Amino acid sequence: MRLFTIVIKNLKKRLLSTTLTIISILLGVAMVISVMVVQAETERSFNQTSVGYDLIFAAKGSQLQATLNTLYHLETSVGVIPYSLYEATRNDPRVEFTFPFYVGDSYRGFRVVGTSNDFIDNAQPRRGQNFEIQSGRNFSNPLEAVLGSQTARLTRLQVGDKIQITHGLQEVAAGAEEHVHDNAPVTIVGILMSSGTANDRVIFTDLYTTHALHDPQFHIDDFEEAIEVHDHSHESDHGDEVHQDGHNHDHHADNHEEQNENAQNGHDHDDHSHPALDQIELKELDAILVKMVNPAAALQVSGLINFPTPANPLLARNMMRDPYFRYKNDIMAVVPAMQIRNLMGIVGNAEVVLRFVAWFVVIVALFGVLIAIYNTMEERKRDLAVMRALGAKKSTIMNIIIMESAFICAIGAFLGLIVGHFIVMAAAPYLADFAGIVIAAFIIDSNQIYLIVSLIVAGVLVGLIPAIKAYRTDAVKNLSSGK
Amino acid sequence: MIAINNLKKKYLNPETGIAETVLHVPILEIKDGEHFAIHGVSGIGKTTLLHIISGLLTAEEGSIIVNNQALSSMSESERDRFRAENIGYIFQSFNLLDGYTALENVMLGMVFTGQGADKIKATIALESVGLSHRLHYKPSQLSVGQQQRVSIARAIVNNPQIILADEPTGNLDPTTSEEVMKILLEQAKGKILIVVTHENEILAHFDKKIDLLHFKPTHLPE
Repeated sequence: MRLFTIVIKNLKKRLLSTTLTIISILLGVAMVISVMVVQAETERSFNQTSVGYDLIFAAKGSQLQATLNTLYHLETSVGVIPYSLYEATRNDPRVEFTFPFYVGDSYRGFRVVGTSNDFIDNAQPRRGQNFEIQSGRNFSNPLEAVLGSQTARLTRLQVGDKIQITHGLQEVAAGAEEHVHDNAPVTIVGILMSSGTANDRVIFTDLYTTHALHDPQFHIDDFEEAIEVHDHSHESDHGDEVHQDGHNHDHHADNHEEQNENAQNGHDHDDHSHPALDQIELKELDAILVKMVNPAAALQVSGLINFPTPANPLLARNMMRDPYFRYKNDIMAVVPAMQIRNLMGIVGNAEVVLRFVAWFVVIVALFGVLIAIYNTMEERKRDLAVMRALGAKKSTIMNIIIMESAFICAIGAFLGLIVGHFIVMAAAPYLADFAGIVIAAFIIDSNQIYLIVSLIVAGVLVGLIPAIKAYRTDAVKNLSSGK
Repeated sequence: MIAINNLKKKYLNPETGIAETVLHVPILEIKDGEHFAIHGVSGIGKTTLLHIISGLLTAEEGSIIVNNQALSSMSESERDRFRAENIGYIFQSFNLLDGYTALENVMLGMVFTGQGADKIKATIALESVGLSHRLHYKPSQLSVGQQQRVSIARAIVNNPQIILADEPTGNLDPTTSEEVMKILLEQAKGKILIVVTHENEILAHFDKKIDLLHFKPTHLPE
């Protein structure tokens, strides 16, 4: 038997009180931990995803919306940009990687993103982390798709399955009529490993697929015929056809005529051998994700596009030589890292409030520990006096009380840490579904360790008050009272 | 050996605000291995004298030397350590801790020596008082006689040189008192045993005894 055994026996003697105080600490710490983890993981998730790309080209509008839409698959597109801009980025020696981004369709609420297969091969959803294929392969032909890990898990789709893509980004409400591209089943050819990002909730497919699916006349079984229909549609007004079909192709139909020319000149069919693909026009994109060879060049390009042309003719002439200058009036260049920093600044305020509330709960719980132990001091006077008679020093008596308080706090904090992470684990799928934030539970960082240590220190401090009372307990008086 | 010389214990009278002498022992010597009884009327200071010998209390005047160590010159912490190593204490009301088994109560007596508690030693101590079959019983599951025997085991487990017993049979019936005294005297062989009592049957066990009334301070009522 050692002092610690005495501490445990004392706590067991008041099992209900001890359990309740441990639970109160547990709840407070679990709250703090879950807020901390959600905050840290959100920030990490957003920051790491944002650092994979130096620039986003999108239609003029909200830069934050463009960032959330392209990197986190939230919000709607700000508008369309010409496909030829993508060709310009491919030919720009300052660009290391460029990935097209085209949205507007979904499958059972999961967003379908039209991009190049180069995206799966070379994009980094997180810093230094490429996509990995869990099963199957990357898409290489139209009407093929690769699923994010979460999409595959929740839809239970497997490689080889065929899906009918729905127009629009949201799941259709009960009773509402959905527009299913039932003439064009898309085959799942691959499933990605979890990247821990919003990409896990996405279906990636070829740009030709997403463009073709928006052609109301397209049919997989009648592909050659579709070419003729498509030619015909160019002779007439393509935009009108879209609207006559009864569903709204929103921005994709806008600016069609103006961008058609760019698309005709710019799109690259090198990777595709199917003759019908030449008849599908890659007219527009929602965004282009760009990784620069030198990240500093991103600021230069964004300045060129976002800021007014300088009055100085020499400077203006230099800028006009830039391949992006001709798009200046139609697009914006977003530096995603800056947008995320701004977003975190806004979200951070709410988290400060949450964290304050959580800490308040912890402080109340600490007072609970203090009161619980302090209230027992009267009934424990005789026990403490007996220990003194057996040779316990006053400091030893103090230590016993402090250890009781510290033990309650340590156990409460440790259990709170575990429960907090379980809360995060339980909330993670909902956060991923509703906010696009992919959060991993049971990642214990130094801040959480500091929290546990500080709780134990707080336990020691809280225990000091009853310990001082114990220190002052008159052993002789309380031994005599036992007679 | 315990040597007391002109020991005075004073308490502040809250009514007069004056420190009054409640115990005065001019001279008292107890040799190693002696068994000694202290008796006297209630309030005479018998328990106070035990507390002073144990180092729980200090006297305002005089000296007390226990095992060649002057208690009056020790710090409180030193007296605590001295008590843990040299004194075994037995109380009238046993003062066993409720949540602890007999074995744990005895082991508790060893925790504060700094050596740590030894389960085997504690078991042997309980066996020596005839409680080997009650090791894991809690005080509430033991008779009063058994409780006092646990208390004796706790007092002897560290093999102290001095055993102080404050009315050890005060709560026991005559038969049990006799049994407990036999055990106590047996276990205290070769040690200094000081028993405070007001029972003549208990006093009869001792050759050496002192009535504190002889040292009664003049201001105390008869």
